[in-house]
Amino acid sequence: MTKRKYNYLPFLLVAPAILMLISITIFPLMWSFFTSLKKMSLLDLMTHGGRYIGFKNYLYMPHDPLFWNAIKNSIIFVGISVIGQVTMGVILASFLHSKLMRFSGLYRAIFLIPWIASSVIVAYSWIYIFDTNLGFLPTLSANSRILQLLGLARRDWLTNSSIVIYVLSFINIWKGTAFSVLMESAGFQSIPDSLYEAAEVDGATAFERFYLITLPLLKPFILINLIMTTMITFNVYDLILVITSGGPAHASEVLSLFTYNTGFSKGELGYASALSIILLLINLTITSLYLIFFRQKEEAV
Amino acid sequence: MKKVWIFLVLSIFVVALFVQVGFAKQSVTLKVVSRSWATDLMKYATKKIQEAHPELDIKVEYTLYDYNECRAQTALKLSRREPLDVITLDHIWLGEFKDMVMQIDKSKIKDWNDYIPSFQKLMEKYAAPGKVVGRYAATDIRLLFWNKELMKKVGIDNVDIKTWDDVKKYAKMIKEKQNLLPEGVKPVGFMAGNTEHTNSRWYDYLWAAGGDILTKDEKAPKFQEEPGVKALEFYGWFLKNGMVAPEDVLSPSNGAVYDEAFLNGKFVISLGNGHWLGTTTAKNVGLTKEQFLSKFGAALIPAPEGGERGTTVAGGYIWCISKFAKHPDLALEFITYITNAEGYNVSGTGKSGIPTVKSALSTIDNLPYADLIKQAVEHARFRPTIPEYPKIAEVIRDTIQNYVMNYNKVSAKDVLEKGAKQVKNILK
Repeated sequence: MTKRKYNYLPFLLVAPAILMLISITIFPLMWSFFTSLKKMSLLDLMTHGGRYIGFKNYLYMPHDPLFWNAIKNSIIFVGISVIGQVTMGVILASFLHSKLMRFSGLYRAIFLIPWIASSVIVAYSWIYIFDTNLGFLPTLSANSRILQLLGLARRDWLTNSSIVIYVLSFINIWKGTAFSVLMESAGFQSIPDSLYEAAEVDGATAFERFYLITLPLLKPFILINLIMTTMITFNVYDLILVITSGGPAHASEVLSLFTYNTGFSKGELGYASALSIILLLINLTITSLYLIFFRQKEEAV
Repeated sequence: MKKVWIFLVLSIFVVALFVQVGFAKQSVTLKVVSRSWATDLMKYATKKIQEAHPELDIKVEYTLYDYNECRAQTALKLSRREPLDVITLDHIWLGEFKDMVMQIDKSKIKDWNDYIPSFQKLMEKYAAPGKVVGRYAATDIRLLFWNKELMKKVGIDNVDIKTWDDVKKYAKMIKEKQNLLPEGVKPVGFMAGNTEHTNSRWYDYLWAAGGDILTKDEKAPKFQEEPGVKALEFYGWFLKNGMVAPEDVLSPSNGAVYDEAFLNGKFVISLGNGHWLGTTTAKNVGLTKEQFLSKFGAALIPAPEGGERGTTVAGGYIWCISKFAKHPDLALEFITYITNAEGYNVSGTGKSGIPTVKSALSTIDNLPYADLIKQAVEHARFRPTIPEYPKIAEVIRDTIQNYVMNYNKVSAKDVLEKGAKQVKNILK
């Protein structure tokens, strides 16, 4: 009886990738989960003194008004940012793809600038636009009839708790639209010109061509764009940290920033870990919902 | 014959090897964790320690971080028992890290008597008798500033502010003639942004009113008591009298942005960081020292009612030797180069700011209002250093912001009581 020789080579070849995945994704995730089951401060971290408290950090969350405040702010911030970025992405990409558009490569490069710029630089640029005391918009609004007529003659863009989150969403749309433009541009390039030519011969209007050809064929790209933009936006904290630090009085504190502040400013590592797990679960849920929704639509078609 | 040759060559080789090993410098690597502004400081201290020890091959491996990152990364590294030699602690983190530092014999601090007494006390806090937790480096203090040009515009020539009531008096005079000032200029400004700078500036009012942040044993809140109410109502007075609007002072991101607004003529009177305002911030808005001096006046933090003088919050970092240091003696030497009188405010050393050692105080003589800064630093006070303070600071900041945002709907007493309740829970 001959012994069957087992081929280990495939396992050896994928081993580095698996090890990498374990060390930089799975292990930190597990560590974060175990930390979330502890009452642990920075001091406890150093003295290995954290206390196991089961799911108390999770059970405390519904009773924490700052958590609900962060959830509300995140929904507004992510909702507006995603809708704004994806819509702007589709519109700008369709312009860039238009045959009438010249120098589209140049425009694409210009659109990319806010996206590749460091969040800190972007944040300070907008501080000097919106800040009550230093911003040029509040200064301009005092004397500008046009701004006054448009209802933009105000000074409290970043200090009014009712509007600050919308202002930050706008800044985030400005910064993130380039990513959507890139994604949608790839989609536009994948649509064969012959389809448009055929539609033109059939007498389809520009709107019909967009609605009946472009949009359905762009759908997979829009889906990926939606998922990725949602995930990226849910994790945005640096931009807000520099511009408002989550203020005034937590009015612009989104969940990711709340997690950061809880862990690194207050030093409550256990609760911050629990928040980060919840953030991960929210991301996973939204991604799954998008996928299910689009799959159902595709099956219906 | 061949064997003899082989023997000779081998002998020479072995001797050469021993000579090489014997004369080779011992290699030492100092591991340092510090703040992102410390690059020049690292280079300066590295050069000094290398020059002092030609017999050693000293390398300094430093990692620099931003504020919060520095605290978290230092804690993380120490939790892994990493052999860090030198760590840099904001003095408000001292309670948190006190057990992670190697206490230093005071006898080894050759310039101990050169330190300003209040800083000596902080270095001794948490240390066994005869020891210190580290060496305090530079500090910063607050002063009261006013815009001379704007004051002149409303007909005030000789400004003399000694008490908080003087501030109110001038603010009233400015308000009466506000039509002579450019659009949008406010008589007075105090910071209520989403940052700890907000707290550290309010504490000056709190202390002047006779209050404190926590009780003496640091086990209960004290800021909600009568002096705290008075200090918060001091803000309320300007708001209620229309001298400043909430959006002016809730300017969000940090103290520097707020100070820039003051230098740009947004407020006539303001509390600012003593030496940054006249140096770094002035430079940021394009002002030379001479321009700054001609444009802005300054005074010590005003005195409380019936008191002689006010006191200022002091900030700054303590350089410590970590508990896991492999080279504690060299680490002490390294932090001595960083904190002693030599090289203070000399270009390229990175040793800038207000020295905490008396013999170096003359190095700030070229700063605007150096005489006031020197007086202020002698009477500096510190924020609490207990591990819970970062959490407490957030509550106090929220309290100030809530009051400023709703000054016409809530009372100072109620918001402070609410804040104190949260602080009690934190300290439980």
